[in-house]
Amino acid sequence: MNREQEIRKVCALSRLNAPETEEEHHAYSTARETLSSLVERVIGRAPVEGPGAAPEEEPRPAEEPGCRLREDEPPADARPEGAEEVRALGPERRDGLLLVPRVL
Amino acid sequence: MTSVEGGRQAIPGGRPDRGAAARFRAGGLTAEEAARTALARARETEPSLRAFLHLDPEGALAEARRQDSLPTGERGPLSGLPVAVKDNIAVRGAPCTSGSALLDGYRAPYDATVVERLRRSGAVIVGKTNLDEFGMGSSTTRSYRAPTGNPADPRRIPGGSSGGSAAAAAAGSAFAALGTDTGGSVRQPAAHCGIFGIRPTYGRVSRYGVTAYASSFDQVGCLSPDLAWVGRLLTVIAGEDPRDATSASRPVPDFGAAAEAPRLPKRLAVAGPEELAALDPASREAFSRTVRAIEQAGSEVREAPLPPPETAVAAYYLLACAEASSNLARFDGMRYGRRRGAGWLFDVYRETRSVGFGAEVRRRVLLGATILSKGYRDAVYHAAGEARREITAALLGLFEESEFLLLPTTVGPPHRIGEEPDPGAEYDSDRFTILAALARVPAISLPAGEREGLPFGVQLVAPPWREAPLLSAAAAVAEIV
Repeated sequence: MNREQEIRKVCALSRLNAPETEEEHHAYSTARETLSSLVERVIGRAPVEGPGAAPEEEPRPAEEPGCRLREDEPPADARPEGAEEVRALGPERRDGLLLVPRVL
Repeated sequence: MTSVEGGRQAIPGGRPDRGAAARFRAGGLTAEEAARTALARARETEPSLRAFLHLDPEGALAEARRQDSLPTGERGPLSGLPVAVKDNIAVRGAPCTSGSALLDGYRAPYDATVVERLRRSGAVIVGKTNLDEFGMGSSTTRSYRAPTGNPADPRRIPGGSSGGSAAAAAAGSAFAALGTDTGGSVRQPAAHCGIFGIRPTYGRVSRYGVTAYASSFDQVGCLSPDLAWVGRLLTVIAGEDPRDATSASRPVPDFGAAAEAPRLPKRLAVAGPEELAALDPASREAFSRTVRAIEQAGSEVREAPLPPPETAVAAYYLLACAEASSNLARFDGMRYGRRRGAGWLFDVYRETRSVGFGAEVRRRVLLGATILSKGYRDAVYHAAGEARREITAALLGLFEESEFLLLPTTVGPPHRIGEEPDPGAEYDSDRFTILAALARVPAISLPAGEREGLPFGVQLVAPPWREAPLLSAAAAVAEIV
């Protein structure tokens, strides 16, 4: 992914307009620099030391067990009963909170 | 209009009358007199301070008169106390903009739990105070309205994001105020304005009705030039709330009584020279002076290694931005916010948010969306969470040998409005307040004299749920510094 594509992707995720002016591009670049600096400090850090520093732990799995669905649970994208009516109102309705009270 | 005193601007009417809150506590003012005193200060100082986004003189006076008419036995613990409320906390019928153009015109249809409890206790709400948009900032210059000035010098920032609450309480336009503290937003402005400001343990106070910024950090806190009112206010707003699942079902001690019972700590941990190197020379000297005074009063003070501030700042901002990008998704012109643009739904979302959010909010939302995106989430977000766990453990370890940790609240004096540092430097300036936020423990900033003619504050940090001894320690330290 090139830089322009990356900018557009993050702006789309944030539901913000992609930068157009030079000033907006500059703001985005500065934000990227800040992020790189913050990431570097956390990823490249030495373990925190101190009287109560956490003991070494087994590495955590990338996905925490508590976040997994149980086998008997429906997949996350399963359509609850009654959802069809709401979807008929327009695809955008799936995005907001409106789906929830109707289904409940 | 401002006047010039001794080479720097001061608010009209001279230095704030901080004794009014204490006089009211001693019974020297009726509720109506207290409200009139506060509102007169607001009228006098607002042109230079701009601490309020919304003032309600008629409502405040009506409620004050009602409080005066109640029989003594029916009055609540805050009966007649003029209180200012940060504008990211819902007050039924009043504007609730969170300092954002996107929410301009929005009025809250209900009371936040803390406001409900304020009303029940007899407090008089005088208005809603200015803040950095959605609480994102340390200067109160990032409000969609004008920046707030510092009562000690209105050309300078009051700190933030609860800068309006701190300035109003310091100027006497309210005798106490509510703020919110995500990474230091109550304590840092309290220090810059020369008053007390407490962040309670995470879960001590309900967040229901508070505009969410970073939900695992946000806490409502109390500010006042009078420590007893800080304690009494905290007692009223604390306690479990069925509408906030993160509020804790723990007994609420009498924090007001604790604040009026000074007790000097026996053992204190303090930041060492390495950490203090981040301070400007005048602040370093002011901090050393405070430490010496505490030692001379009889406390045992020992230097303690702190978790690395660079890591703490990074972990905090990575987590807070990630949470912010998720929390602010609701401000899209459909669910909340003034709608902009037309056409396809996602174009409306983008236009609403791009125009409605200020530059710093857009920046943090972008950072957060990146951190939560595929590829970053496991590597960065979880690493920041792990750093938070390590920092919490290290900080709690300090309390095995010391009752409290003493830190500076800020790295330097408040800068002038219009001379904003770059974002990286601003983030780093939160290094001393972020530790308590990451570890979810209580901390209080208390005034410790002046440096270079501007208020200087120090911070006491305590183990979780130890707000009562923390207030007693703050009272004792405030007496000797």
